[in-house]
Amino acid sequence: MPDNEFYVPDDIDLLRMENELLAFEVRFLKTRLGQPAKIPGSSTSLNRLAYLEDSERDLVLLLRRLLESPFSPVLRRSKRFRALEQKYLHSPRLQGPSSPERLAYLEEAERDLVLLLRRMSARPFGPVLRRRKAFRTLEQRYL
Amino acid sequence: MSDQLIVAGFHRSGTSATAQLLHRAGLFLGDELLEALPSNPYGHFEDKEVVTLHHQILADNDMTWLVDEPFVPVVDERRWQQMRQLVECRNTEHRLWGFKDPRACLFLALWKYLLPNAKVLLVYRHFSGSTYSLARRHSALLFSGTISGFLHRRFWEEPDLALRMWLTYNKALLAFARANPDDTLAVSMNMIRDGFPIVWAIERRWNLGLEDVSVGEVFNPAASVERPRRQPVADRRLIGEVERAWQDLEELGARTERMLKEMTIAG
Repeated sequence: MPDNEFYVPDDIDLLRMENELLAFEVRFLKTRLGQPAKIPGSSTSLNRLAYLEDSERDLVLLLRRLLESPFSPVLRRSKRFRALEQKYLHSPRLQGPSSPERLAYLEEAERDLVLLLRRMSARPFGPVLRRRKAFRTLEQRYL
Repeated sequence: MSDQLIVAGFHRSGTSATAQLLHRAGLFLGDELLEALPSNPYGHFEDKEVVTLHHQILADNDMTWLVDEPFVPVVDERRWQQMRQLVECRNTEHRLWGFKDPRACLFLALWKYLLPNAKVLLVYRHFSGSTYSLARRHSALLFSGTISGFLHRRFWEEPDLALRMWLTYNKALLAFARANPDDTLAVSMNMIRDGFPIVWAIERRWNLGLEDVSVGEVFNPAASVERPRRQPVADRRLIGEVERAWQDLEELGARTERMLKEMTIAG
């Protein structure tokens, strides 16, 4: 065997960093192996999908509640709110749980719900809304 | 007349949980906040506009956020203009506003120049926890195959990178706190974990009109992991410097606790 096929680890720091990175890699792979079942052909777990579908349902319910509230005319003045209303209440819903389009749609719904809740949880409305258990539950779940 | 509160602290030091708490207490932190990621499941609470601006200033100086040596940014007129516009816009729209971004540690003097009355909440964490948490985050990003793999890999190619970054960011915080003692309040992640009433302390000190929210409502101790072993270090010269900086930070934290005790006794 020629000399250049040997590896002499003479840099203790490089060795230590390599070792540390390997430990992280093992941890990463173990976590991935321990994760629940995946949707075939996708990197999204079924648990995650169920969570995303819940968040879409919560967003639709929240938007409906807001539209039925006395604040509806004020909210509708906001372009962003009108866009949410159009997208989640008046547009046809994307179906097919395993399609990438459906996943992207659900992830966007989750982001929109988080943004909406953040807006609502800030003052002046946050303290008033927090008196309602349903709102506190949404805050707890998504924020 | 607006009031401003900036949250500054090194990466992985509990600044996101602190910002979340302040957001709940009524502090406006931005129109468009960065979304949650697996490494920060409750969200970063960082305003995209401010973060982008900081990235741009770093890029103008041929830097990324991996700043590991003393850094004095050169800011051109275009960026000053952007900063001024942001300030004017927020001052017009909000009685009380602020922002949180770990990169802000490097730019506090610039913001203080534009916002002479701004208050700064300094959040710090022991170097061991912060650097381990950074390594965990960037190893996961590296193995997930996300973009910027070269950036994540740097933590395992450059000995002591995370430790030098911790030192640079926190020395910038210490320098700012020494120059502006009346406008700074320092809290450690340990204090937050032990339930230190941050919002109450800010109110006692500066009376900004925040609503009291308890730390327990947002801070999840399970979300922060400590390094399982001792801190590795390649360059022994760093040891003394890092330990000194840590002691100085702890002295700032102790000052916060003393000050509140005195204010409470004084009623």
